[in-house]
Amino acid sequence: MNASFDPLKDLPKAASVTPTLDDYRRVVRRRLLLLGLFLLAIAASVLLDFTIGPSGLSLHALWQTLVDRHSVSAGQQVIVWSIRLPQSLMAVLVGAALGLAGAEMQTILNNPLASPFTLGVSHAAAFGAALAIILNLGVPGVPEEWIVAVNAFIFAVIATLLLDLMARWRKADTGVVVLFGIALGFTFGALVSLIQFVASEDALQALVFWTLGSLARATWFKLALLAVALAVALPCAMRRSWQLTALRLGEDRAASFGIDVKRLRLGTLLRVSVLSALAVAFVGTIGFIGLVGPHISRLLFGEDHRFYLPGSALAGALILSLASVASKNIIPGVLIPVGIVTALVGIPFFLTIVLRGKGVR
Amino acid sequence: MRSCLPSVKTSASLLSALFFACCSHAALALTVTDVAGRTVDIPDKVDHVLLGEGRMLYSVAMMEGDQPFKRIVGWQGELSTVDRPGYAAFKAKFPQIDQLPTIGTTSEASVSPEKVLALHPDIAIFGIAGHGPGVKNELVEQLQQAGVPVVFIDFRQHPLQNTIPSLRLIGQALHREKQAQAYIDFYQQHLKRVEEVVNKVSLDQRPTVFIEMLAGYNKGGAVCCHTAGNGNMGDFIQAAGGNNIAAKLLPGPIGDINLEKLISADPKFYLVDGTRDNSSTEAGLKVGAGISEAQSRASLEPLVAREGISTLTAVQEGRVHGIWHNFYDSPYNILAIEAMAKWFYPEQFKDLDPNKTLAELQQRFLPVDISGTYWVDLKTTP
Repeated sequence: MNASFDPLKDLPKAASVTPTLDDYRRVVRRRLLLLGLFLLAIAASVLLDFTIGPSGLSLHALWQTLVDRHSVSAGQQVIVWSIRLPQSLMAVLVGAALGLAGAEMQTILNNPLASPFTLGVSHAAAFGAALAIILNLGVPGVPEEWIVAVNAFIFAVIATLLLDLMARWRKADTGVVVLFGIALGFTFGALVSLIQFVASEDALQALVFWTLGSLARATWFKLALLAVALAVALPCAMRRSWQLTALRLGEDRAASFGIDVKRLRLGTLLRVSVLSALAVAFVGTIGFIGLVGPHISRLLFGEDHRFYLPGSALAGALILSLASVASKNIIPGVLIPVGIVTALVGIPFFLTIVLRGKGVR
Repeated sequence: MRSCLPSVKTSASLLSALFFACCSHAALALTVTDVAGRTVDIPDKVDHVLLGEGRMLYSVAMMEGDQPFKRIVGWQGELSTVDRPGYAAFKAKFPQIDQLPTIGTTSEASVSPEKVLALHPDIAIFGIAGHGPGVKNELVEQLQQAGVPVVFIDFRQHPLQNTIPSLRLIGQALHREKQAQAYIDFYQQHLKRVEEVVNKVSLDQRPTVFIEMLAGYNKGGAVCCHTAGNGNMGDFIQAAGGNNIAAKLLPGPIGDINLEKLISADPKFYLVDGTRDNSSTEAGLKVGAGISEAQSRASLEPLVAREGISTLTAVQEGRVHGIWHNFYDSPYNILAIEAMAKWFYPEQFKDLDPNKTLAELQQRFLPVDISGTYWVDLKTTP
């Protein structure tokens, strides 16, 4: 077996240990720099999102409202504190949540097509929303302004739990889970259509707008909820980043490293379900980000989940923030549903990176 | 026998007269151009009428005397959901309304062509847009192949321009030209009164107006601002001498503007519309048949308490009014124009009483009692 073993032949490799470490350090530095650039780009995008709007408030007026809100008119206060700020921050948080959820989903299901949108979580949420919007069915005791979000959340969680159930029942066959998710999406899609069929025009319109996705109902409370969810989920995910990276080598390999794959998968699905359910419940179905954020991140950062996970979150945040800018400004004064714009903004971005093909594989 | 001769002669001449009357009538078979610009031949005998939208009943009922449903063989079923109080008003007197075959529910996609053809209508009246089959629907072609002419009308996209032609077309399709003309005269006479005052006001003197359509309905969506631009409710604002702030913003008759835009434009008048009925527990304006002014006002109050709306100058200073959403799809829209005109120019229209116009419309043209609150002021007049 070891007949061909030649210690001399292996020597030069041993000698190059230091350059490899250097390479590694360089790669890590480069990736950290890239993450930093993403953060800068997001900051710039949020700033843009915050400063541009149909009322044409000057930078000075914006600043004035930020530092001393009582010195300006009530309308201006509402514009800055209840519309611009929450919406531009919501774009970032929702984008990050969907990006992170999609990235983790793709890893644990070992499928590049996995995302909250493609695996039926968004459709389930839309079904919950439709029950509330069209049939006025909701959890008793929930105030009217919350029933849509609560319904959407519940059904999104149900969908992820079903996915998880399927994953556990079929042991590890991720292919089946993905197919099941797709079937789930079609089922809930058909149920939504069925409800639409009996809807009155105004309810139908509300539902269509809901499914197109909108940041316009961002509130500080929703922001806080989402921020807490992210603040818990991201560090949790980062703690598991080595395990998730190992999982990319294959389940058996991961198991041979001593990773409890089943537990890892369950924990990850739980995070994914909360993040995507919250995001979808608050802004409607914005499908594209959970799929594309992870791909952009993988192309830029490779499979090392220490970078791939935050990279996905940042890519998602950047796309949605840019989409928010575009949705306000394509037709001034008119708010185009952000879900429509997301794909239009995200696709060129995505294609550029794919076609450049310089990603680390 | 002899005495019979003249009578035979008379009958013969009568017969020939009838013959000529019939033939000349056939030669002059009624050909009309509908609002979609299509040429349509109206059959001489119209006993079975198909309505592409339930709300066409508003017009048909004005022309059919005491039997509004006699000739309707089928209709789109949206009336029962989009105007529950109005539906109930008709049902009270004509319980057969529930048995009327429906061709679909509330959307164009829900219409079943097979059902439509099985009803064997003599003529079909469709709207160019809305909740029934539209101009491009294959059903139109199928009906024409089956020898059923289709007339297109419009009360919703450009009501100011199309209400009178549409009424006239419905009158022609039903062979009720006289009845249609009577309402057209009534309509024009009232419109003229408003126009005489409003047309003298230059554009920059007109008050700015914003109408939030179906305010509060969009559960889970944006707080605001579904509205009308050029067309739909926007037409009535314009006719009543208002300067609709959304007209410059929206590319089509209806759409959504940014709440921020509304706040910064800060219109002089803030209007909302709705269709909720008494039993509704959902947010939205209660207006329509059988609804009291107090109920309507109570439903308006929470709508102006919403963040972003409550700080508008119009709300602070009490220039807030609610109006019936279905005016946008009804020949009653003259009432909306009068109500708005009175809001925008209270001095000039001191003597104008839209409630009187409603009473007259109902008494002269409608077989049922639709009285109720169709418009409301947030502030009670002192």
